Amino acid sequence: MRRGFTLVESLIALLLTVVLLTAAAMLLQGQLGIARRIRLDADLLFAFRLTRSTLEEETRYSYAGRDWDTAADTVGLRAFRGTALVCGTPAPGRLSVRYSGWRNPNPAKDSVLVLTYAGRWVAVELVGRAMGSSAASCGDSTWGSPELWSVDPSVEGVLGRLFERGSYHLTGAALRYRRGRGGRQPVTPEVFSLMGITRSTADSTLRLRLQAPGGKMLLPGLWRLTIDEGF
Amino acid sequence: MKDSDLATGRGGVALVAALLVLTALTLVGHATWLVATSELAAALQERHRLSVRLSAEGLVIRPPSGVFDSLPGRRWSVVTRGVTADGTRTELSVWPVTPELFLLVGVGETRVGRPRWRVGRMFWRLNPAERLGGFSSPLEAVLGRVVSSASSVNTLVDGDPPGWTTWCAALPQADTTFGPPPAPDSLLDLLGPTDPFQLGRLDREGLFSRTRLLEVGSGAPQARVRGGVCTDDEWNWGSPDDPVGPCGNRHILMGASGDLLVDGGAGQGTLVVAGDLTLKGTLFAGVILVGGNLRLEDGATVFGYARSGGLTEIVGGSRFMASSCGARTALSHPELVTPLPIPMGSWIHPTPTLSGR
Repeated sequence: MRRGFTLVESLIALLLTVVLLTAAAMLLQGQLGIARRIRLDADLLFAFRLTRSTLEEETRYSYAGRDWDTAADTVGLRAFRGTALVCGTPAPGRLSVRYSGWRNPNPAKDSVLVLTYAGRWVAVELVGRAMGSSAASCGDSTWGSPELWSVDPSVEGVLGRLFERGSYHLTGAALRYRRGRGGRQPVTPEVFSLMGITRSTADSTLRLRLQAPGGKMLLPGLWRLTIDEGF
Repeated sequence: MKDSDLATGRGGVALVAALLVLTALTLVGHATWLVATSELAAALQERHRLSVRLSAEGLVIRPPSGVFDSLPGRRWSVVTRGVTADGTRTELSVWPVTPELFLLVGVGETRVGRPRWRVGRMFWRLNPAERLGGFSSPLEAVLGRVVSSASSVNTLVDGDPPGWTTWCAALPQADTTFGPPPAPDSLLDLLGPTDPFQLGRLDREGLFSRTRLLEVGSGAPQARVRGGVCTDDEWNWGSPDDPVGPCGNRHILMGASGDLLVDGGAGQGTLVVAGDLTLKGTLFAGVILVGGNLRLEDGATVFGYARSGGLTEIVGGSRFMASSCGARTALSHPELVTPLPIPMGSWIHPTPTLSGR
């Protein structure tokens, strides 16, 4: 007698196999979807954090209306890159300084906001830079390195803030930075679906609104990034 | 699976399917754990970053009193060091940039993840000796003119109010470690202030917000003592004629939003009047700032500095005597020397190598 399966047994086995495989496939697909969403959410959170911290660091200690302002989805600003103690004015248009900053000054692209003796800020162009100067005798030697700056127009000051002109754009689903009149370089991945940036007329603070694809608002939705000058 | 199944070559897919499902669940679980761990780390980092930032900013938002005192010359001074309730270490340093400008640097730092935040803030604080240099003359009429007899005004010789010699000799002198101030940085500074209430970076609004305003437009100031202690009455303006008496150290910062008539009496300090001011036989030592006309009559005597926005008349045997001592003492009033963040941008961007502080 030959042993084997009956037709009914085979059909039931086949049916059970199909059901099991279908369930496994659906489960796998669901889990892959979940994994993909988790990764997208992680990207979104990363982009959101980067956008928030970048704009916050660039504008928090700047003066609204003079150092930064908004237009549509753009923040035009003076991006401060360092601070200099002015030790003296050896000649008209020359500043002997001690400089400390995120990067070295570059006369090709940088300007200086100079605080005058009377306590006013004056913006001048940085037209030249030489290392070492009589600034060695200026106060505390632990503050940066001595340099001799040439500025135009000539100004006598006590403190300088080095800056480059730039703008941040919330376009094309990402935050982008544009230095001077150069191209817009993406800072974050392209993950946002709706973005908004405004300057509050009430307290002159920068407010940021970002939305994820699908309409999910990134809580708390509206971020106040700058500090109130009135403090 | 039974032995008979193995013997007959029968098999199933249940085990394979179960393994597939378990593998998928493991992968998803692992991915979720990784994301959750990194999110937790990011959140902790954010928390520490926020903590050090708020600590650093808090130090320079409301600097402790005394930060701006005892600062000889241009050098860094660490003013305070401390630890907050959440373990953040803080440090406040100050750098006197000029006699009136100060750079404060607050630092917050935590050991966890080593986040560190620095922030600087520029403050302006009135320096009485420096401020007198802002007057073109001890008796200044910003937009008007001075009408007086030659003998009634002495602005060339710097004198002291009677009996003040000892006090004046003890006043701190101008800090010479900063060297002479540079040339005025604008035509406006060269010509002097057009607003009689402008005292350096302290403008009319700021000055009036610090001034105690009189409720009535006329009166006679008089030193008042109760129980051996000088009272805080609004018409008690100290005793310039009795510098060692109970009210000898009372120097007022008083003002009026309109006109003011001071009829007799004596007083010392700073008088700020938005409208016209008339001193009738009054003895006053200190600084007078008047938006309208200033009139001294009936033998009134002023020692100090005065500035008016209109006509200044010194008539009826009245006298005006320049006194830098009287003016410096008046401008040393605690309300006037309270530092203010410099207008139009007091915050300084933190930089990574900001002196290592």
